Amino acid sequence: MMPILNIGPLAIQLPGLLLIVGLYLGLWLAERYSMRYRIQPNALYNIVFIALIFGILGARLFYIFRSPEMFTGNLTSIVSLNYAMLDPFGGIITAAISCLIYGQRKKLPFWSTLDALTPILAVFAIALGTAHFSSGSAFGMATDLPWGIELWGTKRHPS
Amino acid sequence: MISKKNGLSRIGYANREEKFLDIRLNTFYTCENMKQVFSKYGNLIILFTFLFGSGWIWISRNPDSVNDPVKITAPQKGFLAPDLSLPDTNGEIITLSELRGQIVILNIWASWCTPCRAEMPAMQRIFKEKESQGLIVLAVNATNQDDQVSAINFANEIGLTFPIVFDETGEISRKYQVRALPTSFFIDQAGVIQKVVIGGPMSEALLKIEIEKLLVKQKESKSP
Repeated sequence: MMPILNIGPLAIQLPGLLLIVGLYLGLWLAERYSMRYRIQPNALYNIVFIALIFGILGARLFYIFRSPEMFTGNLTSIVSLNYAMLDPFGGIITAAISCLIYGQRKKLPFWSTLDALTPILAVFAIALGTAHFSSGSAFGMATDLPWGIELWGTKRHPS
Repeated sequence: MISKKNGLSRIGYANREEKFLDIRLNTFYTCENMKQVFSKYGNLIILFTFLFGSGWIWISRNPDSVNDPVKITAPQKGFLAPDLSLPDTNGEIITLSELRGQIVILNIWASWCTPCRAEMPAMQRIFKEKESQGLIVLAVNATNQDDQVSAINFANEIGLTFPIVFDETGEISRKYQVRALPTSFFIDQAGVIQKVVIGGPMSEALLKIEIEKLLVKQKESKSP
């Protein structure tokens, strides 16, 4: 577990950095292979951008819809910058639907677009696992097997 | 023919197109071979995969001896909150484990930290509203990077009535692995951390939602 990377006076949040690097590498890889599937790299960039924006908006909206009465007297809370007020499930659903709508409007072939997006998703999945490993937030079950790591008071499977 | 153009050093490729064609052909033949192997030994492969997978799962199974995270203390959701005993503004010692049975928001803060100051009024309002239902806000001042007088002045200035304790040595910040100020831990009546919010300011809605979840849980545990 290494949540903070200290470089001189700088303290960098490593999980966030790993996610950004994962997204960048995934996009770079997808861009290289996208023409094999006859998908313009720009379309991939747009899809990722739309997924990010609508994913965050959807995650916040789903969070609000789960307990709307808590926001009635606190309308400013709706735009709070705190990431704890996000619903990951809602975010994924909204991102997927918005990408689907974008793809249909731009007449992108469904399966080829998914093929072209595979490198992004694959690299991002690795980055997500590594980010969890770095933050210690998604830890494995307790174990006494040789590959167990010391985390949160006992030896555990890595995330 | 040896070609080293375009970084190709293998014997037999004149250019990238030729190499690419060769790779595709190889892939095709590999696939065809795999199809043949699978049609011949398909059942055996499935059986082997099933047995190997089952064996792997059995070897990696969770040992019963270390199955209960609630018995372990760690500053993480699902674990018992690390205990603390610190002096408050009157010099009286407050111990976290003695607050079992109550819902605790443990907020680690400093008076110079703007987001910490910004979320305090909302916490005070929630505390006043839910105190009767068993909520307690325990504000742990990171005194090792702050000073006690500034913290007390700030508390008096905005009229905080919940207990403020002082972590002079920074031991609690280390124990709770605080990476940013403020950091808040929502602890249920059994002393188990149910939510960690790193950074701030927390909005009033977030505080209300998380406390409501803990209150519902408390009611459920009390009802037979």
